[in-house]
Amino acid sequence: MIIFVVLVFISVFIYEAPELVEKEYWRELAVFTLLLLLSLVLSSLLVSGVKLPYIETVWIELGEGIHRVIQTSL
Amino acid sequence: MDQGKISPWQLTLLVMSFTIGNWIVLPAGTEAWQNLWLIMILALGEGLVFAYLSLLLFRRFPGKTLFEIFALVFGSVGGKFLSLLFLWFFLQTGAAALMIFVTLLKTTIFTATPDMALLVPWMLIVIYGCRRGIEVIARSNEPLIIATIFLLFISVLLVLNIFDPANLLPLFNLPLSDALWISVGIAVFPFGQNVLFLMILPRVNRRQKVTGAVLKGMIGAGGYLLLIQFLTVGVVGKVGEIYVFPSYEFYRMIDIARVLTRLELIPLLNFMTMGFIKIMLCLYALAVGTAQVFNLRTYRPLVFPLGALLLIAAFRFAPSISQHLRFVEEVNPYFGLFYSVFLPLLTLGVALVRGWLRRRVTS
Repeated sequence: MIIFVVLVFISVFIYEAPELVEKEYWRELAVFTLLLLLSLVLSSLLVSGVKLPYIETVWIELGEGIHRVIQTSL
Repeated sequence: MDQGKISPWQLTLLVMSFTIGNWIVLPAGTEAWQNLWLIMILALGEGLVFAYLSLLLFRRFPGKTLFEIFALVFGSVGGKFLSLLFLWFFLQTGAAALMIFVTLLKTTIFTATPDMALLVPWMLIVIYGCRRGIEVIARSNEPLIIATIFLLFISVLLVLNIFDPANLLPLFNLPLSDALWISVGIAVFPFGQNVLFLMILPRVNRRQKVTGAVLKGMIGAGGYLLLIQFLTVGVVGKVGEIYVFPSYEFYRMIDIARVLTRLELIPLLNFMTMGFIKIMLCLYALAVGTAQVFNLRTYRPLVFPLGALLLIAAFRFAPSISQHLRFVEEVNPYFGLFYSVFLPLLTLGVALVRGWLRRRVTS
């Protein structure tokens, strides 16, 4: 599965990068590559079964933490 | 950057679709159940006030996106920080709609289909549409919103034999403070999420009509959601409170002479079209916003990686729909108030004070 994900991301890079190089959009190429690598790493972690935190759980725990701090300070 | 232009009418329709979005199947404030449709009128009023205040920003900085306004008001570093906060908001809004999309399909029709098989083709279409620009998004939205409104009017006729006005009672049995708090929750979700349009308004060809177009869209969407909620309560009654997707259950009950039955495809279709536009607009705002944060000349290459991030965020958004409901009830009002009211008002306030100080110094 990871190999498939890597292949998809490589294909996207091959599709997008030549046009950016041709137009000399170096900054665009750098940001695109950075975001692509970030998505690749996170996708690989996801498909390999690594338990990434749930967004809402983080917010709820943060809210509960703030609530506790306010309660103890009052 | 995107050079496409949209008309004020197309903006109105986009605002309608974006607001209807996922609320159509998963309403907020269900604890008020029989009072919900009434509270929605109050929430719409509050939402319109919030939207008007945010639109004052656009009036003061015509032709600028929210991120450009941040840079002008707070400087480069402060502006980029606030822009990053809003990028997270766009990501989270899109991921929530995507998560509800997959949960609805998995719990109703495609119970044995893997999440990936539902989400990946969907995201590919969203990415494709987003790369084509705002003009294409607005044009593809037109037939979809017209179909959605048409299906609503058909629904009114279909439920005539099962609609019981007694189901709407009791009314006004909620403490005023609770009703007000629920109305604030609805004012920020779904109405307050329209703050995203501050990224799109410079693409409207007649800027003087922007305020009216946004407010009309919100009123249209509010009326649509109010009617759906009214029909749902009138058909399913008190028991609707316990359903996760009440409008889906209400369409299941439609039975016209045992010929027209199992019409639950209607809310699914409505959500798939409106949710599609909502996710596409979130991805568009995310891509254009990221391009502006990094001073890029085009947003198009960023759409795929950001779409992949949106997909990952949808997968890891909430462990269950019950936790999402808890989030909507307990956290979302604060979250929404911060993004939809506090940050735009803070920006407007700072811009006004800076303008006043500048005038004093020059005089």
